Amino acid sequence: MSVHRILLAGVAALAACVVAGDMASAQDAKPQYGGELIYAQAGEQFSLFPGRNLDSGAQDVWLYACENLVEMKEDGSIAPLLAKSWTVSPDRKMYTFQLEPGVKFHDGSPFNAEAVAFVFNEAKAKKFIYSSILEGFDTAKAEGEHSVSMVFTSPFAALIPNLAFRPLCIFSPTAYKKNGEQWMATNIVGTGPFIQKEFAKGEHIRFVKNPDYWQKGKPYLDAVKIIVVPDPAVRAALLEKGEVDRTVRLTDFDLPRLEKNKDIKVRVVPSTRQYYVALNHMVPALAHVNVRKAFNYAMDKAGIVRSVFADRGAILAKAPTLTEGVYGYTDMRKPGEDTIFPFNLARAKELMKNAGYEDRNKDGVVEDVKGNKLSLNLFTRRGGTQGDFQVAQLVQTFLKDIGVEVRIQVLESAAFGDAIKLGPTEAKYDMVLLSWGIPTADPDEPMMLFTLTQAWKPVGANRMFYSSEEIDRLSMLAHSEIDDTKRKDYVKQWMAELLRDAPVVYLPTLALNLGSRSYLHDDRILAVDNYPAPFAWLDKDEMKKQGIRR
Amino acid sequence: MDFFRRYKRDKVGIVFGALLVLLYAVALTAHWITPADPMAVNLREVFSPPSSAHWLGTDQFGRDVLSRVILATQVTVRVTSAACLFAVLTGVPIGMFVGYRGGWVEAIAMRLTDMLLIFPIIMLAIVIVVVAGPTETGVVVALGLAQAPTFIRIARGVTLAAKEELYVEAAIAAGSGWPHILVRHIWPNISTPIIVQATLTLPVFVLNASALSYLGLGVQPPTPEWGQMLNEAKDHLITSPYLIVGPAAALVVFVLSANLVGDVVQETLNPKLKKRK
Repeated sequence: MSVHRILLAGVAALAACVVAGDMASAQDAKPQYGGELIYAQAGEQFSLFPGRNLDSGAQDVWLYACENLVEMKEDGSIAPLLAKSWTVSPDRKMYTFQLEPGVKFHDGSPFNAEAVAFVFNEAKAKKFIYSSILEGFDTAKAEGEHSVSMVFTSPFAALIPNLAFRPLCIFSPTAYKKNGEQWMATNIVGTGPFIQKEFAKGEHIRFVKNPDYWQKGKPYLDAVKIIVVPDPAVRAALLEKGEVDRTVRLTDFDLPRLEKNKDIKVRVVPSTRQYYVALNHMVPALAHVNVRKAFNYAMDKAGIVRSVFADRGAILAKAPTLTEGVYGYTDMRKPGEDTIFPFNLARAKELMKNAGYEDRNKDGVVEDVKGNKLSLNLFTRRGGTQGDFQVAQLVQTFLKDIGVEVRIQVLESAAFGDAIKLGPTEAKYDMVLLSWGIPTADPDEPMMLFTLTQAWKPVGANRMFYSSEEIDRLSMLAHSEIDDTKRKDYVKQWMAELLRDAPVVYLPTLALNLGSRSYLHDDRILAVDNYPAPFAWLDKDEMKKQGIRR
Repeated sequence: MDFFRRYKRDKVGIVFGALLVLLYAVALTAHWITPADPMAVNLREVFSPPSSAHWLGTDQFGRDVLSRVILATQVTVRVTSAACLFAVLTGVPIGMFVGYRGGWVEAIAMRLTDMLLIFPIIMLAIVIVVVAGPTETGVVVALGLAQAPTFIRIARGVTLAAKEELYVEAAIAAGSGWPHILVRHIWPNISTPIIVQATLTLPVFVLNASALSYLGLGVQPPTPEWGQMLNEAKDHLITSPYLIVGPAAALVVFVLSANLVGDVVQETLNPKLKKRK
C-alpha cells in the first residue's frame, strides 16, 4: 500500500493556507528568464555541510544547490522531488523509493540509488547532526540504478515528512569522498537548479544557473546572491532602496512602514516555533501540577504579543507545542478561549492557594506551609530568539502578580547552551525561557524528544524532567502507527494530556516574515523557517519602473 | 569657607553646581517624587506618547518613563558614588603606602598598576563584572577596581613629594611610626589633588556605569538604569522616538555638570591654574 497518498491528503488538509492570494496573481503572469536575485540574510553560516548544521539560515542557502528526496510545499504538504514515488513493505519497516532518472550532480557524477544509499548510511555511520530524526534507521541499499530501499528496526510513521527536512538533502558522494567534510562546510554540491560559484565567509555566497538542471525550463534566474546583513534596520533600508530583492527577519516595528510601500510585499506567517518556559520538576514547588497551571493562567499572553511583538511577530497558541501546519495539529482551545490557558489572574491565585502557597507574612511573596517563600530563578538569553529578554521580563512581572519572586539570569549563548544540557541532578535552573520549533512539521519530534521520560536531559530535550506514563504510551503509539486517523488521534490525546499536566508554561507562537520587492515573483515563505526562491523570477519592466537598474 | 568664596565667583560653576545638586536631590527623594510606580507594568498602555498623565510617555511594557528616569537617577548616583568611594578607599591607601615605603614593594605595586592601566577602563570593568556577576555590588566593584590604579598612581606621586618635606622628617625624628605619619602628616597635605581627581573621575564613572548597563552588564531589570533604558529605546527609535529623550537628557546633564563642576573645583583649589576662557 502506498502511504504517500494518505499522508499527502492528510497533511494538506490540515495545513495552514499561507499566501494563496499572492500565488494566484503571480501565476497569472508568464515567468521571465534572466537576472540576478539578491537576498539579504540575517546571519552568517558556520557550516554549509547539511550533516553538521541544522540552522534554518544555512538550509536557506543550500536549498538552491542541494535537493531532498521529497519537498515541503507552502501549505505544509509533502511533494515528490528527487524521489518520484515510494512504497512501504507490509511489515512497515522498509520504504522503497523510485528515483528521478537522468539527474546529475554539479560535479558531473550521476545521481542514482547508490548515491542516496551512501548519504543515509554515511549519516548513520558518522552520526550526522540530524540522525535523531531518522530514529530506528538501520540501512539503505541500492535495489537497482534508480531504486533505493531504507530499512528500519521498527515501523516509523514520520519518515516521509522528515525526509523533506532540508539537512537531509542528497549531496554528491563523489565530491564528499574526494574533498572531505571540511571542504563541504564551504562548498555545497548537489543536484539543485543553481551551482555554487563564490563563497566569502560572513559576507556573501553566489550561485549561478545550472544549465543541466533536470526539471526542463527551470530555473528562471541567471544567478542568486545571498548576502549577510546582521542588523534588521539595515536590511529593511536595503529593501526599501531596492539594493536587495528580498530579506527576512524584519523587526515587527518596521513592518507597518514597509507595508505602506507599494513596491514592497510583506508576508507574515505563523511559524512552527512556540515560546515556553521549561519548569524544572525537580524543584518541589514546580512538581505540583496546580502551581504549574497557576503559572500558565498568570501569563497575559495577549499582552506579550502586543508589547513585545507589536501584534505582528507572534500569535496566541491554540494548542500546546504544536502549531498550525504541523501534522496532527488540532485547535485545543475550549469554546470562547483566545488561547490555551487563557489569562485569568483570579484562577491563578486560587490554584496557588490550593497548592498550599499563600502570602502568610504579607510581604508580597507567597510561602509554602512551612513558611519558605517561593523564589525561583529564570534563565534566559538576550537576543537568542527574537524578543526573548523582553518576554522573560514580562514572565517575571506576571509571576510577581501571583506572589512568586523571580530572579532573571541572563546568560550569553555558550553559557546558556551549557546550562540547559545538564541532567536532573546537575541542572541549576528552576525555569528556562526557551522555544520549540518543529522543522519537520511532524509531531514525532516533540513527542520523542520533548515530553518523553526517556528524553530527559542529557539524552533528549526534556529539560523539565517531566515524566508521565500516559504521555510516554501515547508517544510510542504515535511513533509507529501508520494509520492516519489513529495516529492523529494519538497526537490529539497527547495534547489533551499536556493540557491536564501543564509540564511547561505555554507562551505565544512566533511568526515569520519575508519582505520582497513587488517585481519578484514566486518566492516563498514556509512555516518551518525556510524561504525558498529557486524558481522565482524577476519582472524586468516593473523593475525598471521602480528605478532598479542592475 | 575660602573655597566657597572663590567657587562662587565662577558663574559656570554655580549653574552646573546647582544642576548637580538638583540631580542628587532627585536621587535622594526618588521614592517620593516619582509620579507613578516605575515598575508597574500596564500592557494596555504600551508605547503611549508623552501626555499629561505620562510626561515622557510609556515604554514597551506601559511603564511610566519619567518615573523610570527618576529611579534610574537614584540607581546611577548610588552606584557611581559607591564605586568612586570604593576606588578612593582601595587606591589611595595603597598608593600612599607604596609611595612612602618605596623599594621593591613600590616597584612591584607600580608594575602591577601599569599592567592594569594598559587596559581601557571599560574593558577591565566588563571583565570584572562578568566574573563578579551583573548585580549592583558587582558593578560597584568593577567600576571601582577599574579606576583604582589611577588613584594608586596619584596618591603615590603626591606622597613621594610629601615624604621629602621637613615636617615628615620632623615627625620621623620625633619617633612617629609610619601609620601615624601617613594619616596625621601626609594625608592632610595630599588630600587636595585626590579630591580633585575624584571629582574629575565622577563623570567617567557615570559614563562607564551607563555603558555597562547599555551592554546588559549593569543593574538587572526591572530596576531601571540610563544605559539600559537607552538600549531599549534605540530599538524603537523610529516608531517611538520620545523614549530616548528622558534617559539621554539625564545622562548628558549629569555628565556635563559633573565635568564642569570638577573643572571649577580644580581651579578653585589650585588658583595657580590658568583661568578657563
